[in-house]
Amino acid sequence: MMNPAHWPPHWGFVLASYGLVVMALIITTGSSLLRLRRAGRRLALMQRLQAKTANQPDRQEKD
Amino acid sequence: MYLHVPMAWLASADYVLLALCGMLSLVWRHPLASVVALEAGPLGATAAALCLMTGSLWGKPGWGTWWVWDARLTSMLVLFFLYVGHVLTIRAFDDPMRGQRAAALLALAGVVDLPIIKFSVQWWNTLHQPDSITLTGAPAMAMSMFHPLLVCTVGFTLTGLALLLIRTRAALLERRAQSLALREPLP
Repeated sequence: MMNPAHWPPHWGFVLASYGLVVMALIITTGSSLLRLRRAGRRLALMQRLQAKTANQPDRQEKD
Repeated sequence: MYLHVPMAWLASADYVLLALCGMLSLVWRHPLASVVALEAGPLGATAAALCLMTGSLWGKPGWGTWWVWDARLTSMLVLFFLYVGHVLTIRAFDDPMRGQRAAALLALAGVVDLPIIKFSVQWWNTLHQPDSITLTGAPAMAMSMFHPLLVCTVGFTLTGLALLLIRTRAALLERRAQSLALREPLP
């Protein structure tokens, strides 16, 4: 392992900058993808429920 | 630098998009413009906040201080506040149309800050260094640093665009689901 005396100058500030941006990227990308997935599933559910209500009178007529 | 400069570019470019959407929604009442503006605001605010934070982290070892009330830094902080104002205003009203109109006006008025950010290092004597990259001249930095900076800027721009598209698509799907729920009573 490299001797800390030979680490690049101000490595803590560099690490903090990269850490901040990577964290923000992970949070933003993760939350956006999760929202897209939830929205897609909710729309699919609503479409299924609508199709079910649309088919219900037909069934009642048959009965 | 490979993070701070792309974040500053992304925050400024996102604000141009926000103002453009504001104009489209105010003049032509384009429904997609309001959705894009709603989703672009938080992304731009994040980019502006990251620009300020990485700049501050860079300023401490470089200038010996976390913050100075320098023209470039202050105008960037104003941009961040404009973003925060937009994000809050567009969601503040019960009637979404009123919120969108107020936020569009704020976005258009805030465009004044963009040239101030760009030219602040020329107009005033600032602690922040002058522009290293210009459209007309050669970059004032070594090519070994310029190329990675270019790659980072393009990469972050594409990432920002992808995030905006994902969020806009999610918002449109949410609206479609909501309109389906309101159209007919569910069983």
